[in-house]
Amino acid sequence: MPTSQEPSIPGSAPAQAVASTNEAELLSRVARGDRDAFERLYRSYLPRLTRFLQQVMRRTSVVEEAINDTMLVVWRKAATYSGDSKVSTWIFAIAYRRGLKLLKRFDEPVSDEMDLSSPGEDATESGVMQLELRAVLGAAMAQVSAEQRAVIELTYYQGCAYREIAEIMGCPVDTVKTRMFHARRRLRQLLADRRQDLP
Amino acid sequence: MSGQVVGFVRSAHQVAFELLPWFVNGTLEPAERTAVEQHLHECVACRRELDWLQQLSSAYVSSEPALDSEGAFERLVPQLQRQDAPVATPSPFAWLRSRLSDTGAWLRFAVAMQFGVIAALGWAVALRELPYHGLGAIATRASGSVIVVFDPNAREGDVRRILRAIGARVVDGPTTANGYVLEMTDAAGTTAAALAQLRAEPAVILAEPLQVERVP
Repeated sequence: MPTSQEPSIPGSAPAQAVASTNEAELLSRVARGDRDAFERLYRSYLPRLTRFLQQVMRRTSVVEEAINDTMLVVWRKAATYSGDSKVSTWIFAIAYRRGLKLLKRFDEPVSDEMDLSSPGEDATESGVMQLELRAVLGAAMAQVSAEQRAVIELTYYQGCAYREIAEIMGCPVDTVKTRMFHARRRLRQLLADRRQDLP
Repeated sequence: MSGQVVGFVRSAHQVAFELLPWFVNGTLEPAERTAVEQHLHECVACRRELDWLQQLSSAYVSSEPALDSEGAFERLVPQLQRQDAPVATPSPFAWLRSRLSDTGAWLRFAVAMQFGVIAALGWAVALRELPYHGLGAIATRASGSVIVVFDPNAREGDVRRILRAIGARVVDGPTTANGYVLEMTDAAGTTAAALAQLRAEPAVILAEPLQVERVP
């Protein structure tokens, strides 16, 4: 019987992340203009936001700009955090919107969905080795849409539930599932094609 | 025409297949997780997909380490200094809210507060002396016996159906707390029965009796 693996979330390891209750407290201090609290929050989120925006935007030259845009909004709007969602959900939602906005500068298409013609060869059946898969995954990710990359990143790296992803992306949960469904098919097809090109 | 509805209800396979990525990352609700596990016992296609997704997840997590963002905060500091302090003044409830938000206690606190406000409002309505209007007809006063607060997302059609079902009409409101005072028009019905019926409606947040002293 297959079992689910434990989420592997390097970015949210205890050593790097502030516990969620402390995050709410930190944010309330930020709302009162506390620079030290802001710096703690910034450094706590820097690895996760860097990874997230790097994956969604695929443009390393503007990742830092997107992070600092995001955290400037956090600095200025901390008092508007309502407490209805986790602090991380609130911050990632800001980052997602800032990232998409910056992508428009490059005329990057941000709308779904891509060509979903044939599902391609079954990538699992031929026994893809992890190293081989890793080698082609980065290139394949560049060929799915920014929204699909966001769903994949938030699921597999950031370890988010689909309802939380819907909050971050500001869309219905069914849209999250649909984007993931299309991304899975697209990646399977691209990986199968690229494996054939490997020596 | 058979009237059979097709195409809207997704099969157990479709539901489980869609949820597999979150089965892999361990974030499904217990009921969803159990349903997916049960389906995996009987579906070869989903077991193969699960195997593929686990490979994908492992490869993805270890791919492309994050950029080195050393010095990013220091580069942000000049912008912070150009910015004013945070624009909005924290709500007086911000501290309380932050303490309660992770446990869901904030919602319970807010509902309790709302109940208190509405109860006080109901008491005020009960005590209020309405002015006499001599317009040539026998003066009547609002004789509401129930105060009700509807869900803000409730549709007008639902509200109408609920009122008709208990034989009531709105005689006052909305109050400052979005309460409506209802008068029971159905002689056969009792306030207690109407309250029970109102409280069973998902579109009703709160229903309480008003002890209005009736003019003989």
